[in-house]
Amino acid sequence: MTAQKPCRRADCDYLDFGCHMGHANVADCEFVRALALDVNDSTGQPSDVEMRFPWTGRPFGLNDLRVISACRRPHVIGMVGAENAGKTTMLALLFLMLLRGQRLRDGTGFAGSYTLEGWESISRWMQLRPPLPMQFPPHTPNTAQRQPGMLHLAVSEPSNGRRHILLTDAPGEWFTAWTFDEGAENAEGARWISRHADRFLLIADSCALTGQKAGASRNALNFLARRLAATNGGRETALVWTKADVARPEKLVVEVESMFRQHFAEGPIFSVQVPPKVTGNGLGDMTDLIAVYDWAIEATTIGGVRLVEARGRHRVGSDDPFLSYEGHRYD
Amino acid sequence: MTSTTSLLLVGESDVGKTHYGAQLLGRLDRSDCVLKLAGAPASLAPFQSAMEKISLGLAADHTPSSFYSESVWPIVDDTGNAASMVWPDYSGEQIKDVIDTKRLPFTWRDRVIESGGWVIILRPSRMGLPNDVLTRSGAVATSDADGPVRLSPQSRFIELLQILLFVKAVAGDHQQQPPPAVFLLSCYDELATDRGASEYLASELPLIDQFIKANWSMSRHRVFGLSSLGQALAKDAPDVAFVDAGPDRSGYVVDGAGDKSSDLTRPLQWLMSHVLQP
Repeated sequence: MTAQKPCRRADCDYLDFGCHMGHANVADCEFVRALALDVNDSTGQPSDVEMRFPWTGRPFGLNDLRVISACRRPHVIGMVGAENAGKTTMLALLFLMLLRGQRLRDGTGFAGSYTLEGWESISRWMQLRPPLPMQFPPHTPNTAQRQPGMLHLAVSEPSNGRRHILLTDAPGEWFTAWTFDEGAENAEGARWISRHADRFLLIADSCALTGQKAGASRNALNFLARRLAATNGGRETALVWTKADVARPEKLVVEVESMFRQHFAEGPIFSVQVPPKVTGNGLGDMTDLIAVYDWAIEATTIGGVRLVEARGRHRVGSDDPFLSYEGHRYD
Repeated sequence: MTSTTSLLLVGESDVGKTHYGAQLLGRLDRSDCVLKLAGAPASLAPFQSAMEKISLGLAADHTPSSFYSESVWPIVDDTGNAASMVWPDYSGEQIKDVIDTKRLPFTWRDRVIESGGWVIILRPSRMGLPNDVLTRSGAVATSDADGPVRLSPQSRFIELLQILLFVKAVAGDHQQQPPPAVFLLSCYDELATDRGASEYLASELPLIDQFIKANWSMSRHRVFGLSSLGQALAKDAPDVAFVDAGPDRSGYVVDGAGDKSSDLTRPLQWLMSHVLQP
């Protein structure tokens, strides 16, 4: 039916609209070059008999976002913290909770995810798969990418239709580099998150903050908070203590939280840990983690203007969000 | 008036698509089921072998992986609505490939686009979750020793539905609701549960349950438990008791609320009525 596109990207039509990746000479484009790989094994010809889909299942990069951002700006939750602070573990726990039927909020439901492989690749470490013991997800690789990998959730909401939520899974090294040098070369992804996330979870690692390098960790967190506040204007940020089963001296708690308040006067403070106990329905107590995500998915404001779909005078008598949408600000 | 309804029957390998087709044919022949055959289907060939095996008390053979056939069944429901139902038989490996490669052969794409209603089969006994850090049990998990698996069965199922929904959405220019769908929890006898199918799905496969409810309105989908044979059959050792009881009397469906019926055509009757009167 449809003629084979000259590019591997299903959403690229460079003959009419130019290369999706921005190459002036399409021969330079990795997707065009990759076409040579798409041969049918038996005939050696490029496949013209299959439909492709605009998601792979792996975490989204920026170029993948079109599939979810056509109607409505996705809600981006930025996980900000040093390496080994527990950012990825928090994401893995979220998916395990969803698998067990936990809802992000009463009345909401899981409506899909285009990054299921990404979710599974981090959460399967925390599942018991003999002979392997349960583990924590491995360190998120410190790559030279310019944007973080993002995990996607579509959430149905009773009053609000469907919302697309993206959670960043970025290596801690990016934030460490960014903390000490705003323009650091390997902090492009951290800067991207600070500019684009709608809500931020600033991670305070109980273990590191009480460990051998406690002083250095405290400094790093302090300057990371400062850097983040300078970029995002001190808004929409929560402090999340991870590994809360580690005992924290009262003095440390007061010091860190007052430092946080200094930059984010309105921000909530949470404590989470991998659940130690199993409750009646066979699930560990995840109340604290649910509270974090409940806050983080809250529809947010950008520049003080709440993003809303048109109701009223611009409404064109359609339930189609495309027709009834007034537009948005997207930096 | 007779309309032609093409049903999309979707399920991975080993969920019981062929058994259901063969047992349905036996039921459509009987007068005490809500759907009946009106005349003779042009070809029963795809189900001939399975029907023979079942009548001997044996499990049907695995459908060959490249095989795809459709048979057209003229049916009529208890209110006199007539329709031609296109019932396919194929190997679930074709579905597996779609999920694994995220590539949908154009032949399948066109089937999805042209389908008026979906029959989606899943086998919950093969979809259990391993224990994890939330459940903290030391019990041995479901076996998963076949090397790296990219997606667990529940995620695979959701991915499959996302692919189908995407095709329909693009084909319908994002204007149309997904087609009415029945979700059949197959081999329901394996689950040894008294619960209704809706309750079972919600409690045991909650992510899938939420996904279905988020994408289909309550009036556009139904969940049934399905046991095409009522019990397991072996491939090589005939079950004499099963033969004596009569294969066309074996098997049952359990509706969402838990009511059990030996009429295996019930899910299709619901689907037909919603395809014909959208």
